[in-house]
Amino acid sequence: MKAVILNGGKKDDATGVTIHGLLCDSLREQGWEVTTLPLAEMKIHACIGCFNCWFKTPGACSFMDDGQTVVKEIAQCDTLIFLSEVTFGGYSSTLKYAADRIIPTVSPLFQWVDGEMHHKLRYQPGHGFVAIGWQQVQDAESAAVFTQLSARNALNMHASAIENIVLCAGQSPTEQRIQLAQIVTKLEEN
Amino acid sequence: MSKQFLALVGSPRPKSTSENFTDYLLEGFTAKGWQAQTLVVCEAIRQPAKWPALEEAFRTADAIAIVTPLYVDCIPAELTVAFERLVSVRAAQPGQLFAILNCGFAEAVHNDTALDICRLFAKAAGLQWAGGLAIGSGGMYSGRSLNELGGQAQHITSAFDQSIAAIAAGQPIPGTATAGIRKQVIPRWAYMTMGNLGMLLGANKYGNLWKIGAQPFARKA
Repeated sequence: MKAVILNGGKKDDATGVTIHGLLCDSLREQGWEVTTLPLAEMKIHACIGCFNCWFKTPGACSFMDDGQTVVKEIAQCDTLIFLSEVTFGGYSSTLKYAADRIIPTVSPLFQWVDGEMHHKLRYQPGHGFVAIGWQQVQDAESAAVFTQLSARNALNMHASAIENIVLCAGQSPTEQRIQLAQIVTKLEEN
Repeated sequence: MSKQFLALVGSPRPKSTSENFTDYLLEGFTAKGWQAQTLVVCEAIRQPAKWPALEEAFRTADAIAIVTPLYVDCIPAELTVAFERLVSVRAAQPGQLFAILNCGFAEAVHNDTALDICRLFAKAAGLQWAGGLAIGSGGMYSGRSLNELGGQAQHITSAFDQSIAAIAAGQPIPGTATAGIRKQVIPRWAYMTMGNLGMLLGANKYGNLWKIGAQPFARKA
């Protein structure tokens, strides 16, 4: 099973670096093949809403940058993991540049999902989706919005499984490791 | 000295629906005697020379509107960059912030998480959150001004009029506006049928009608 981590952390963010390391360890211990895309080191242009990836070159973005790698890895993974500092309840801008570029992974055509209008998937079957956030200072309100955002993303991705968690810089690495291991175990169960 | 209104457009597209919406807001605030301006966030992010003017406008505005399309359940990346940069520039100046989110899905509910993110940004930036307006079925409003759209956009112009009046009076947007703008103008099934037809025509324009479901990055067996 292959997990792809979109790492939206900054290189100098110690909390993010620790969490990424612990996550990779937990996944590998459970037998996952792990690929991390270090987004802060990649060149990804903002999505400009041209929709060429739906009409002109279906499934492929016009920008020939690292956004192409993001789409390819997502299309071929079993589980997609978003990793980011919680930013006003959402993702960091580093992760958001990549997240905005994933629309070639869905079809432009619509269908009903849980009574709402959503895009059809381009690649069947869908993958699992995990969102892992961290906060420098614990804030339940923004953590709740982060959880809500990841649930909405999972719905749009038609995710076969969804897990999310918000960790805090104040937690010990042991606590973080236990919580991450629980997430990975749940993925296995799904 | 007249009060200042700033609309920050989050769309990366030229002549966007968001800009059409801000044109209406600008007229409304100007009619109330405010100085009103629109700035397009992606231009200030991509052209660093334009950033200081945006930051200064944000720092001094009495009321700010975030007007943006929904991108992957959230605000677009460049608007997120702007939020990260602007969060600490206002010191303790009082001011209001409201947000208008527009999505291409039929239901307005898709916008609610992004509105929460704007609300949390307002709180972190020291601005009073004045409310969020969620617009669904955005495909019906692209390419034309609200005035040109007439009755089709009456629920939007009504909500905008109520919002302008409330903000100008230092009040939050009333519930009649936040609820009224979510109105489903045509049945959802009809909107989705038209949307799917539009997507097929869009692909056909490039000779890709039968390739619309192409999988260029599919796993090799």
